Parts: sequence; C-alpha cells; structure tokens
Amino acid sequence: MSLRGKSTATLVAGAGLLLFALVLLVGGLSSCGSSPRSWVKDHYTSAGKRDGADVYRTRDRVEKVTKDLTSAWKPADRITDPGGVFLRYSDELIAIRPIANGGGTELSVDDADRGYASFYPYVGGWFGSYSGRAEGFRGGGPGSGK
Amino acid sequence: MSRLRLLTATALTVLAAAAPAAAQTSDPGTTTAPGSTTSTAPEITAEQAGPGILLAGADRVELAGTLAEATEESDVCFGYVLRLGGSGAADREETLTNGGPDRQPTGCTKGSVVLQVNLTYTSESSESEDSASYGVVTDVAGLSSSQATQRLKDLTGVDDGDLLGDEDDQALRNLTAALPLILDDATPAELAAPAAQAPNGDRLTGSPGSDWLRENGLGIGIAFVLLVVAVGLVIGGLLGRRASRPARRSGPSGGPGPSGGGPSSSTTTTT
Repeated sequence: MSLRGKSTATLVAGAGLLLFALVLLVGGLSSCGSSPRSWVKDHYTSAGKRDGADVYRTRDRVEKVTKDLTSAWKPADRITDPGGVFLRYSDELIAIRPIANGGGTELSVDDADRGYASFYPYVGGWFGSYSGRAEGFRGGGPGSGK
Repeated sequence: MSRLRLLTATALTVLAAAAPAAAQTSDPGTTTAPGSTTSTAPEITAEQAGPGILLAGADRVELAGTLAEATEESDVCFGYVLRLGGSGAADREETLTNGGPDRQPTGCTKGSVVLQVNLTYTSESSESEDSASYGVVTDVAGLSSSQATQRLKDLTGVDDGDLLGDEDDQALRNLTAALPLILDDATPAELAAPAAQAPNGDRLTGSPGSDWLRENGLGIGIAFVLLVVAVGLVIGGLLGRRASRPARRSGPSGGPGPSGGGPSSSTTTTT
C-alpha cells in the first residue's frame, strides 16, 4: 500500500474511533444530573411521603426491582435482610421491601443520614457505627473495612 | 453435573432431617413464645455455637435468630449447608438453620428453603484455583429450586467469587438472610417507629463516593482513552497525506502545486 493509501486508512480508522469515543462520551455524560432518586421517580409510582422519605410502589417482585435499580445505579454498599434490601448511595439510602401477601414492592428513598436512623435495626453497623453487639461482623460502612 | 447432584443430595438430607424435627415442640434448643406454638428462636450462646467455616460464633447465633423470626412469620424453615473440601483441608460440613447453629430446623409446616454452598480451597502448590458455588434447594409449594436460586442471585447480587473474597462472611450472611424474601408471599417485619437519629450517636461512616462516577467512571475513562487514540490517528493520517502530496506531484505529469505557484518560481519564469 502506498504512503497515501496508508494515511487514508489511518485517517478513516481515526475518524471511526473518534466517532465511537464521542458517542460513548456523550452517552455517559448524558446521565449527568440524574441520580438513583430520579431513576426511582421515573420508573415507579409515587405513593407519597412517609416520615420525610419518598415512597414508591410497584407490582414487581422485590428481586426484579432490586436487579433493575442496581443495574442502573450500582450502590456503594448493600445489605439484604428478611426485612428487605437496603442500598446505600452517595446521598440516599433506598429500602426495597415486599408488600405483604404478594402485593408487590415498596421503595423508600430517603436522605442517607435520615435513612440510616430510620432503618437502623437493619443497617446499623453495616453502613455506619453500631453500638449493639456484633459490630465487628457488621463492618462499618464502605471504606472502613472489617 | 456432579456438583448439582451433590447439592441436591445434601439438601435432601437436610430437608429429610427437618420433617421429623417439625413435629417436635420440646427441642431443648428452642423456646416457645407466648401465644405461639412454632417459635424457633435458638437459645445458644456464641461460645456454645463456636466459629463456623466463614462466620464467627456470635454471627452464627445472630443469623439463626434472624431466620427464626422469619420462620415464625412464614412457617417455612430456612438455613444453609456449607461444604468445604479441597486438597488443602479436610472435608468439613457446617449447617445453620432457624433452629440454631448446627441444629435441626423446626416449625417447617410449609416446607424448607436451604442454601447450599460448596467451597473448594486448594493448596498453594496446586495449579488449580479455589472455587465456590451456591444454589437453593426448596420443597415449598409453587417455588422451584432453580427459581429460588435465581431470585436469590437477583436479590443479593452475590456471585460465586464473592464467597472466596475478603468479605466472604458478609456474602454468606447476605445470602442466608435473604432466603425469606424469595418466598412468593414474603412479608417483611413491621417497621419500627422511625427515629430522627440513630441511638447512642451512631451514624453513617465512610464515604461512598460519587454515584455517577461509580456508574459511569469506567465508561468515561475508556471513552477518553479512545478519544486520545482517535485524535492521534487522525493527526497521523492528516500528516501522512500531507507528506504524500509532494511525492505525487513531482512525478511526470507534474501540474501546478504549492511549490510551483510560489513567488520563487514566478520570479524564475519572469527572468
């Protein structure tokens, strides 16, 4: 291949890669400004507020809601318990709990600190400090190690 | 396939043990709560329980208590059977149920849901690597074992590798504690009255970092690298084309080129 032919091939490859990179970049940047809270708001039906937390409901089962949400927004930490699935994000704590008798799922989206207090019996020691027993097992939140 | 058979065989053993135990109401390891005939809260200390393969004694007792509460609500027994094998250690099996650590489950009038975990630790000199697998075996009506396993994976996000990592104890704890949630009519415990603050000054610790970066950081990083490479290729291609121009235009056909139309050639012609 001539020098000009090689240059043209390089130029075309570069342009193609540039286009792909820009699409990837724009795709990633397009989610700027959104959050787990807004994702939940966009995908589930609001059931009002409870003690300051935004409450949403859906007919979907807990595991589907959990998988959908964690696929869209990976949590910093998570704990599962017979009481529900609890997800910790930067600014929110989201509780995903089944509604009794197969009635679907309820999501509670709260500020991280208030959510920690609200769901302390479940998340105490996992996402933060815990004055009860078994603190060593419960970790202490992301970054703190065990 | 053999692993699946092993899982099934072990689970059936546990389930078979659960059936007669369900009829017992005076198990020394259980208590009967007022107004209930199926209370299965284990009465055992951490010292009595002793450490398990992955969990400490206190954690095993706490986890059994959690399962016992779920059994009271659902009349379904819960527990795990953990088998440890491999060239570097003697084969070992550990069980934990709503009846307590190393105890048979009680109160299983609607069946059992058992988490089966297989761990294989290999010696450092071995070429093969450590491995882990898990699945759920259940005889609860309307819930197949494969369905239960898939539900558990979706609920916890735990994969086999998590049972070999630094937080293998948390992975086992999460898997086991989630078992009650995979029932069709799972009913969570009532929420306690919300408190404005966690007790005793307890609070969130650690920094979870940016949600957006956690979700998009890798993609954005790759995009930037590709962008740099692409820009490099485009610049290289443009420079290559520019370099090839004089070579083509200096051939027999000639033709007006940048060098031919410059002031110097014009001067030469005039002269």
